[in-house]
Parts: sequence; C-alpha cells; structure tokens
Amino acid sequence: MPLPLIPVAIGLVTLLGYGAKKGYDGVDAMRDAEALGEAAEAKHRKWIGKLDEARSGLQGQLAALDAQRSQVVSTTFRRLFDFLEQMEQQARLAALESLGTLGVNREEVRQFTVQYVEAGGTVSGAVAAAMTGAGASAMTTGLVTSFATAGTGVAMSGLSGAAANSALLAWLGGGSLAAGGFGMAGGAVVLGGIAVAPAVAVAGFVIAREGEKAKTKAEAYSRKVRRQVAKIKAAIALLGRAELRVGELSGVLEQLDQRAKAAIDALWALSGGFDTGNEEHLSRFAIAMQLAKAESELMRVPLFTEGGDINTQVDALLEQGRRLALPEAS
Amino acid sequence: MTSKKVSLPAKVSIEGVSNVLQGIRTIAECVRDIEKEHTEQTRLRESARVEVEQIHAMREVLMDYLDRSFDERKENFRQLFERLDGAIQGNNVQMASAVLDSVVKLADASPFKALRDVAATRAALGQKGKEWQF
Repeated sequence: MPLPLIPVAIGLVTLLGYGAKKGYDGVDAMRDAEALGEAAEAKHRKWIGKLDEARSGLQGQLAALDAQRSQVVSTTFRRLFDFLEQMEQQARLAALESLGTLGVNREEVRQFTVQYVEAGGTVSGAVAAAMTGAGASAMTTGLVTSFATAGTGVAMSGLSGAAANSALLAWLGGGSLAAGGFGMAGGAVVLGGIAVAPAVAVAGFVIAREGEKAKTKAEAYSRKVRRQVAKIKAAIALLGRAELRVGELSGVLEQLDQRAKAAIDALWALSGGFDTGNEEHLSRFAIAMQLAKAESELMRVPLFTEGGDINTQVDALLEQGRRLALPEAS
Repeated sequence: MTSKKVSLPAKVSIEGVSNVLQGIRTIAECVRDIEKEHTEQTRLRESARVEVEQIHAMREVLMDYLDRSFDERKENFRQLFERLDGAIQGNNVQMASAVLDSVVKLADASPFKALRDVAATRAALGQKGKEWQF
C-alpha cells in the first residue's frame, strides 16, 4: 500500500524544491522589475533636464534678439529721426511729403515710427505729420494702439515688450514639459505595492507569477519612457533648429542694420547740405528710409508660425514637433 | 464495524487528493501565466524598439529638411545682400526697394511654416504610424 505513494512523495519533494526555486526566481524578477523601473525613471529625468537646457539655450537667443531689436530702434531709428528733426528745423521736411515717389509708402513709415515711439523715442508733431501723414495728435494718442491693426496684425512682442517678454520667460522658465505632453509620472507609482508572498511550494509559483507580472509592468513603463525620451530628443532637436531660425533673423537684421547705419551716416555727412532738389540726395534719403523700413518689417516677422506672440509661437512649434514625432495619431 | 474502519481513511485521502489537485491546478495556472507574462514582456520590448525607431526616423527626416532649408536660405540671403550692395552703390532706389522686399519676404517664409502644414496634413490623414514623405 505505501509503495504507490513513493513516486508521489518524490514528486512532491521535487515540486517543493522546484517551488522554492520558483519563489526565489519570483523575488529576483521583482528586484529586476524595480531596477528596470528605476533605470527608466532616471533616464526620463535626465532627458527632461536636457530638454530644459535646450529651452534655456533658446531663451538666451531670444533674449539676445530682443536686445538687438531694441538696439536697432534706439540707435538706427533714432539717428534717422534726429536727421528728420534737423531737416524740419531747416524747414525742408515738407519737401519730402511725396515719399510715395521714393518707393516708401506712408503706412510702412508709420510702422517703424510706431516702433520708435513704442521703444521710448520721441518725434515732433511736424516730423510725425510729414512722415506718417497723420496729425500731431496721432503720435500721442493713436499711433501705438493703431499698430495692432497695421501691417501683419501681429503684436510687436519682441520689441522691448515687457509683457511679451514675461510671457516668454514664463513659458521657458515654467516647470517641466509634463503639461505639454513630454512628461509622465514616475515609475514608483507604476511599480508600487508589490508584496512578497510566503515561500512555500505552491506559493513559490505564485511569487514567480507575481514577479513576472511586476516585470511586465516595469517593461510597459520602460516602453512608455523610451517613447517619451525619443519624443524629448525630437523636441530638443527641434529647439536646436528654432535657434537656427532666431540666428538667421538676427543675422539678417544685423546685415540690414549695418547698411542702414551707413546710409544714415551718409545723410548726416551732407551736414546741412541736404538738398531736396538734388536727385542723388533724394535717392540716398530714400534708400536710408527703405533700409529702416525693411528692418522694421523684419522685426515683425513671426519666428515660427503665423500669428501670436513669441510665447504662442514657441508653444506651437513644440506642438508641431510633438505631433510629427508621434507614431500614433494624436 | 468494518464499514467504520474503511470510511474514515477514505475521507482523509479524498480531502488530501483534492488539496494536491488544487495545488497542481494553481501551479499549472501559474506556469501558464508566467509564460503569458514572458510573451507580453517580449512584445513590449519589441514594440518599444519599433516606436523609438519610428520617432527617430521621423526626427531625422525633419531635421534634415530643416537643415537643408536653412542652408539654402543662407545662400539666398547672401546673394540678395550682394545685389542690395550693388543697388546702394549705384543709388538705384527701385532696385534697392525690390531687393529689400525679397529679403523681408524670404525672412518671413519660415521653414517652420512648412512644418506646420505637414503636421496638419498628417493629422488630417490620421494614419497610425504610416510612413509619409514630404
């Protein structure tokens, strides 16, 4: 009678041993899961840090562009308006009322006059009237507000605009990109609450199963992190190209400004000898005006997308990047 | 008398067998589940690899496009400023005006605008992970 029970007993002992081994495997798998989750989390944190660095880099470039624009207004534009003031004192400004024939229309002149005024420059009523076709009162009341509807309709956010600047800084300086879809919760949440069961024969298998379940959760989390990190890398690359764009506009503005300064210097070099009846003098004046006008237009060119201030634009840029880098439909 | 002696061990052995069977059932379920988890882990690792490769490939295409655009624009700006200098030197107001207009237009035509269009098209198509080209 006990004979048939011998193989059963052997089987049970083997099963117990195997169960204990499985239990050990299960605990091991849980440790693996935890390590996998922690590694994924650390990787994610590292790349979020790199993304913040990239944003800081762009922030620095935008701040430099902002300073450059202010500089253009306070030096180049100011020097041009000073020249006009001098002409007004010499009662020769009226002769320039026919600016249209020189390829510079009033609306364009009005726009860079507005930029100059908004940046703290002052223009006398007579110069304002001659240059913009508006009465003297327009300079003090309507010019700045009318700018919003002039030309492109884009707010002049980059031109020493404190409000736009603070909005930009708020965006660039504000927390991680979690809200924008580049962040995610830590692995601790995903991997929390895994308990180790008692190690007995059957329980060994149960522990092994739980360990593998934990490992699966960790793999799912790791997959999510890897996808997020890939997207963050794409966003960083995109921010790098955004810097190229800012650098491009800064470079073009610099090139225009050099030529505008030279043209205005040439006007000043005539030193009171400017003759509104002289074709060459008029041409010089027209070219100086056109260069300043082109600078003014360039300063209103949107950086990345149509409409909105810089803040909106950088946001839109990252949204583009996020959608483009997303394999699944967003 | 005899019936009493036989029925008691039978009860015990039935209960024991039933426990052993339950244990074996649990172990079998565990073995099956562990296999399922292994399969799922492999699937997750593989899909992560594919997803990351897709995002990287997309990134490469986009960055290549942007880099080439900026290079091309750099050359265009260089040529425009060359012409502008000629116009300034020759006091040619009309030419200066036309070139400056081109400079501003080129600056305004940002490569990022094209990106936005691509993003919009892609969103409109709503294709899941489908390859697309510029």
